[in-house]
Amino acid sequence: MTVTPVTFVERARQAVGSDVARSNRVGAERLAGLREAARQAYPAFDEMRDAARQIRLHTLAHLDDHLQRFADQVERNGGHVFFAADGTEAIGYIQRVIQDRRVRRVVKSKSMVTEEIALNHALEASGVEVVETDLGEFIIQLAGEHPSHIIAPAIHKTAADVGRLFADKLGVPYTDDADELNRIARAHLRRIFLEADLGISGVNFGVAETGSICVVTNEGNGRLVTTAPPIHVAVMGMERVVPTAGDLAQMLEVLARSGTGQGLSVYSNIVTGPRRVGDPDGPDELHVVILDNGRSRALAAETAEILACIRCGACLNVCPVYRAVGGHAYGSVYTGPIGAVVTPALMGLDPWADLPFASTLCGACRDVCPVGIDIPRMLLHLRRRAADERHHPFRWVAPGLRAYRIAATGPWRWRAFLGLGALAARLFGRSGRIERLPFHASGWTRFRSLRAPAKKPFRRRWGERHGT
Amino acid sequence: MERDAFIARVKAAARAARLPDADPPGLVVPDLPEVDLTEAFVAALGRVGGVAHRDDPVEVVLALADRLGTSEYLGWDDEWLPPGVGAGLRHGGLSALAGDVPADAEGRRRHQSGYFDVVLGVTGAEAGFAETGTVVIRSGPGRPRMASLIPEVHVVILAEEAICRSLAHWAETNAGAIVDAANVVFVTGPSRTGDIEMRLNVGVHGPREVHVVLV
Repeated sequence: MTVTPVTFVERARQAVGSDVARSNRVGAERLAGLREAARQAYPAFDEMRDAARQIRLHTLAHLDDHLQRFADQVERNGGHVFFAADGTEAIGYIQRVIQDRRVRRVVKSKSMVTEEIALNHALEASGVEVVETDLGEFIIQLAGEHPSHIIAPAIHKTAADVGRLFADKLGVPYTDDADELNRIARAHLRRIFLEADLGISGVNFGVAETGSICVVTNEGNGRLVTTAPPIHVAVMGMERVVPTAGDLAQMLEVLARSGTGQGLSVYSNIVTGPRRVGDPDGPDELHVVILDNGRSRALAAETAEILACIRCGACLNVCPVYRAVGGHAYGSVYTGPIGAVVTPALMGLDPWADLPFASTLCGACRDVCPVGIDIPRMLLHLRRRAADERHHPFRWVAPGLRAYRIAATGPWRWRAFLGLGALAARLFGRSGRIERLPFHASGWTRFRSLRAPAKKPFRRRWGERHGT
Repeated sequence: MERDAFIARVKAAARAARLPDADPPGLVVPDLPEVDLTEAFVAALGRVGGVAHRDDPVEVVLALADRLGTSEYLGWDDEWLPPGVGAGLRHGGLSALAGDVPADAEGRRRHQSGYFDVVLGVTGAEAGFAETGTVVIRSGPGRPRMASLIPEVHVVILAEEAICRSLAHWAETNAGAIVDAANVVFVTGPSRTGDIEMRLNVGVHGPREVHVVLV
């Protein structure tokens, strides 16, 4: 049993070079390539991204109005709405529905927000069977692990891993043939869909004007979860609304292109209320749980724009840090650049203060974002807040900067400080380079050498030449 | 949390939010190159792994049923398919499974278990998108959602004149239609997953094959 390391640096150290990190890298590079190909094949893409950004920012600025309208419309369509301040309230509501309807078996389609509130764990603890039906999530659930990528949760598993897992947990003969593994999963999950009393989905977009919810999947499990069982519970982060059906179309135009390079995902499934009189199938009951869980806090702060995120995963795929360390190093359900902002913005800097530092600030995430979120700016903001609130993860930085300020604010002290540099050059320099520094400074020279400071400081040379 | 308190908290946060000033834009309908809509649709459908047909829909369905070795299909009622299709399928020896699910939970389970292994589905479609090879399928009386979802093979009958340039072009005039039913789905090719080693696999939950018959 390994103990989960508590800091990003420790988790990253464990992850670098691991199979998870390696497969995350391969997957991320592949998806980034597909996205770029889709962008080039669709000249209108950038124009569509601008429009998508405007829609999301406008919605956030008037979120209270749009949420009101959305809730009214869901109820008018015959659905139930519950407003949950946090995960505990959301779980409590869903548990009440489960108890009232004597639900024993729940099927789920992939949803980050239910991961965020650890819904499965809570429901299982109260004796309900919960089955994830997205193939990747199903694999992860069987293995008792956590997703490592927003849209490809089992990206770190090989076919052989999955074959052993299925043989072990489902009692089928071992195979590492991906086609055969898919067939096994399809047949197994079909029976489970049939037996399920309740389906839980996330929500990609809620439409305020009509009370519709849109669930986007490639596999079709999102459709089965919202069609086969008699009750459908949709859990929606409160920021996921868009004003109109036309706005929904606009968002769908950019979502799949950014995530996987597809023009549209295979299924954009739009649900408007429970089944209507005369409808042959679909759920008889619809519940929409609207979740805050830190979102109003994020909205009121400098991090407001992060709520425009549509969870496409494009920023993960281009991030050099994500590519190196993989999803698990972030320690949270939200990984990569977006996770480095979302996690502390929703859950507070304590204990997530080190995530905003897990970035090189190269800006690739901002460039690919379908809604143009300035992630580096928010990372810098969170870093400053971490320092202000004394959550700074690197303990030497603050005293170091204080020492520098003392040195830099008096001519004599400054001259003495420069003298230290010259001394360092003499002690550690070899033919103009510093190859190795001792103790705490050793990190600076582990992978490179530094140019040694000049033996005679510039100030002194200037003084000698100009006689000041 | 009480709704009013929840909304009040959101309102305070939204007023405090430092967001760029943004007006709600209308739908941006991109200026895409002129193409022959049918040809572009067929090409796009092929790219996402679907198959287009221009033959008589009855013949297409019967040939598929023959290949699959089935004499049943789950589909839309006759009145929602082009005239003569339903009768033609029956005449060819196919029988339609009833898609109407009872309202009680036990009845639902029993009914659904009766057709969950169906291999052939037949539906119409409201529109097609040439840019992406997508079809728009709207549920309602006589049009079960399951028909386009649970069979291994899904046949869609689409009128050529219903093909639009792209989702945005269609939504510009039909946005209301998106929500004018309890369920509307945009289907773009067969069900797919890349969840095992990023290798493309079809039919993990939904249809393995999508055939679009243009009429």
